[in-house]
Amino acid sequence: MMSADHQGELDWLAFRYVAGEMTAQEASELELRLADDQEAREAVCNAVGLAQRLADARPPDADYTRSVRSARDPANRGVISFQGRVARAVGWMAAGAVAATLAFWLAPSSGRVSTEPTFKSSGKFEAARAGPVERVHDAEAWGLLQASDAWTAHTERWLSEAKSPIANDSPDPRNPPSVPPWLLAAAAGSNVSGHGL
Amino acid sequence: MKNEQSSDQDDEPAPAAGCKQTLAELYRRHSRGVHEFLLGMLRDRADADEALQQVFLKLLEAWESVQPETAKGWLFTVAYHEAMMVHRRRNRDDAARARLWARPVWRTLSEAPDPHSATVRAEVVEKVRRALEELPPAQRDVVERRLYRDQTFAAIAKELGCPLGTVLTRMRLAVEKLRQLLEEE
Repeated sequence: MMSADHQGELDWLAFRYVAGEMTAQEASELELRLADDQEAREAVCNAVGLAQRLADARPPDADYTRSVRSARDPANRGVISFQGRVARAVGWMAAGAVAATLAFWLAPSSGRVSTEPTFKSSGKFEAARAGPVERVHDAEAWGLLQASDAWTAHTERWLSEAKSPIANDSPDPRNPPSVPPWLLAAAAGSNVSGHGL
Repeated sequence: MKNEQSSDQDDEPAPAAGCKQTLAELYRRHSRGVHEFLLGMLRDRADADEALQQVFLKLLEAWESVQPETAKGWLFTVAYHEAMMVHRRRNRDDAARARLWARPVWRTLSEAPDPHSATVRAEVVEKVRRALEELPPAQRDVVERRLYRDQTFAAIAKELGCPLGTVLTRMRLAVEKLRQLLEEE
């Protein structure tokens, strides 16, 4: 039985190994140890399992967050590329056109449902649920957002992922893996029939 | 596999139930762990899959000589030798080997997610995110930078303006805490 300190040390060593944060010398030493140390092998398994779970939980907007943070950085605020300016101008024009169209077509209707912008699972703005004035504001905001530098493919993906439930009909990863056909075929054809294979 | 009654802490299935069932049970019980071990050593999913297959085929070949109570250790030992063989085969020079070691395992995991990671349940993801939120901000920051932005510890230290040792300590504490939190749940 290992002490908690020793276990912690081994877990950290294994994590550094799977993280690629070791010198070649250290990695070689650990691999020598893996030759006959079952606890070290299991520490590597656990480190990979932890890395896998953390990787699975990667936020969909992880990179997007960084780009927004970067855009919010005062040092970056004043720097807008030519492409950015063109995109912004196009966005303003598009927003204006959308706003005018919505105001024209939807002004007579009286059904006011919600003042908050809502999104369908497709990530499209659900304009039909807002009143005329809010619709214009929402459309402007939407156009501005799309034209801004912060609008990226990540945003599109995030919007669709945020509203898409993760399928529940998938097999539970905690269930043990089923025996693959190749192993059953190999067992059927092996010479260990004396044991019932 | 000799038909002796198992009495080890792994509580291997009784071979009396039939060797085919024993083989299936061994696969169900240990294949995931052996595969993760192989992924950790090889950093390549296709190589790990192939090596896992070799391991279980060798189990069949050595069926007569493997004891149920030592099967787990036997599988890992064979897996280790398979992994080292792959290392030797594909990395003849030290530079290539060093590049392989420098590759984090989660890059392999994200390249071609297997059914396990692709179909991971929302509750597992939620659990991990909750655990991440429970970390002190400084530790969480290091974890996110290392795993989700793929920054090295040295780069993180430089960006945060703190010693490398501090970053490593934060990561180590975060890993310990995450492990505890996920085990508790």
